[in-house]
Amino acid sequence: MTHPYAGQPAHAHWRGGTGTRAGRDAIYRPRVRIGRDTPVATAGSCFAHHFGARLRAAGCTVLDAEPVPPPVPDAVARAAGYRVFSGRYGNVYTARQMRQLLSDAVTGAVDAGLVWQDGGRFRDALRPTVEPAGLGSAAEVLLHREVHLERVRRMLSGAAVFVFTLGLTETWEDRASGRVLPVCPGVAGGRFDPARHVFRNFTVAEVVDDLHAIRDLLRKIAPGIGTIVTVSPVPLMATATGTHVVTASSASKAVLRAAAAEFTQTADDTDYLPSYEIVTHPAFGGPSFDADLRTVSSEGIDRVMEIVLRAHGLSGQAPGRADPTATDDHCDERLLEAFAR
Amino acid sequence: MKRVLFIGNSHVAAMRAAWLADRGRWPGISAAFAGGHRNTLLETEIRDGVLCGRSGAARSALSRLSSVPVIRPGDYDAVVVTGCQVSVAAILPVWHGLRWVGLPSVAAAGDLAAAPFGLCGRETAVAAMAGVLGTRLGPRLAAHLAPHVRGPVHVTAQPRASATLRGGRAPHTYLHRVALSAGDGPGISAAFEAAAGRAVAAAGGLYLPQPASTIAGSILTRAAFMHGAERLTGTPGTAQPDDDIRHANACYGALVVDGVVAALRASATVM
Repeated sequence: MTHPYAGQPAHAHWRGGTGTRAGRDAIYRPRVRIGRDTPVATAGSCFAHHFGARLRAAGCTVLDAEPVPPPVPDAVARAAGYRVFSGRYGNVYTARQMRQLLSDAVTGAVDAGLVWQDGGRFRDALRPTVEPAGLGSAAEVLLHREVHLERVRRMLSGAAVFVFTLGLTETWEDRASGRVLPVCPGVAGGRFDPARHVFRNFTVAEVVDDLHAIRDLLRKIAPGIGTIVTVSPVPLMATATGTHVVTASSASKAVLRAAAAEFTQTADDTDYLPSYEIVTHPAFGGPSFDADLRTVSSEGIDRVMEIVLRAHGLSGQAPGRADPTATDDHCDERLLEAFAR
Repeated sequence: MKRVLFIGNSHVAAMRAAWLADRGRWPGISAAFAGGHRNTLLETEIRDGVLCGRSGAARSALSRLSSVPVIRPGDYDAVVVTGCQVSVAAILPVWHGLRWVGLPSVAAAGDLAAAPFGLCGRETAVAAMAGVLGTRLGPRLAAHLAPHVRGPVHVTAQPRASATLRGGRAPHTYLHRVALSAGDGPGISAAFEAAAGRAVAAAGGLYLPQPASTIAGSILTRAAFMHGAERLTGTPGTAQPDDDIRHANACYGALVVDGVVAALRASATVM
């Protein structure tokens, strides 16, 4: 007498999937392929930065819409949003934010209402940290945004693979424009106005809808582009739900994980990259966090990238460490920490 | 008597030449000179209060190119790090790749998204320039020496390239020529001064800009302050090659020493 489980591959069984390196490697069997010459674009939360940096260090072609001259030290460049993602868009934590960015890149839409003024300096509310000292006028902000969007669009038009790391479900929406913001107003500029800024916590259905819209927009810019979705293993820095931060993190990651599964099951040109599982699960030696129990350890990132590079046949060399001193200090969400002290 | 140590790369020769030519110009000042080519001065350490070479090149430089047999940084009222790549040339690659609103080249660019440079805020460009300058010899040497010096460590700018490059094709001057033809010189110069001040301060030093009267076209040095520049050798008076456009002469050096002495007197007044 046989049964459906008997016909499953070894990695579908606990022992086969966790007991050997080959079994563990089978957690990621990519449909969307990356070779050294594949133009890859990255965006997302803090973890996406590590992914792009390690891919680049492994000799892969990671696109950069807004490069900074080579002599500029990494720490200085990253503080201004350079060398972090494939565009200087800062952290894109939610699928809705990514959808907005791509939509704006396609239409060239620039919203003059999303400029924050603080002490005579002006910031783009949709990427408030990329100019740490702000800009001199609202008009300058709008010019920067217009150029940024066009550079992002042109960069994506040359991409074959888009890697997007989902970070959060919680966000703040500007009621006037209907746009979600990467950082709550008041944290990195702007002023929080409870009448104007509305808390949102996206559901699975909303995230799935946004992911499909992202895919459609990407294909409009670059027909044939493949999308790889990952879920950041980094827990929330803070929650606005009033619940415990650990509970809120679990809920948020569960929503994102479920949405990623639903999305990637419905489109062949998409893939799920299980960095969340590799970093957090004991079967892979996890949880792999630093002492703050939040920052993914370099060993955890190594483990993800070893599996990723092997899966793509790119492991001829050890997974590169672009910069052993690289930190997540540039992550917008870390700003919330400062306000908790 | 105020004791001042001038230390640096090949550009220290201008100050040394000025001092040897007219030391009476600075009454109450006693100057000593130490030099090393390229980054050899970083291959040093302070041992029992004495600046010693850790490498053969550094030991050789200190013995051949110093005006005193033993250098004890703590004995000086001020140390002046001269030249040492705190230069406009060092930040031109940043300007080449990153530009800001207010520069004529940005105003003239039609499609900024297709421009060969990125658009950033001026403060971001200055921070990037300061980051680059912070990796150069001047701030690094200042940070290296500061803990062992009882007075301030001044870092002077390296002279801008000679105005004679305007009509020529001298190597390594492409970006100068592009910047000048774009009309970006004044903006670059102002950003450089801000960045140099920031980089030197971060290293624990005090920045002294290039004397204003020596500057031509914002990012060049008037030819009169470059002709007859000396090389940094054990024998003072050895001329730079005729086609040199990087080193300044004794007239320039004298103005830098004037600036150092003025800064010393100002700090003494404050104290």
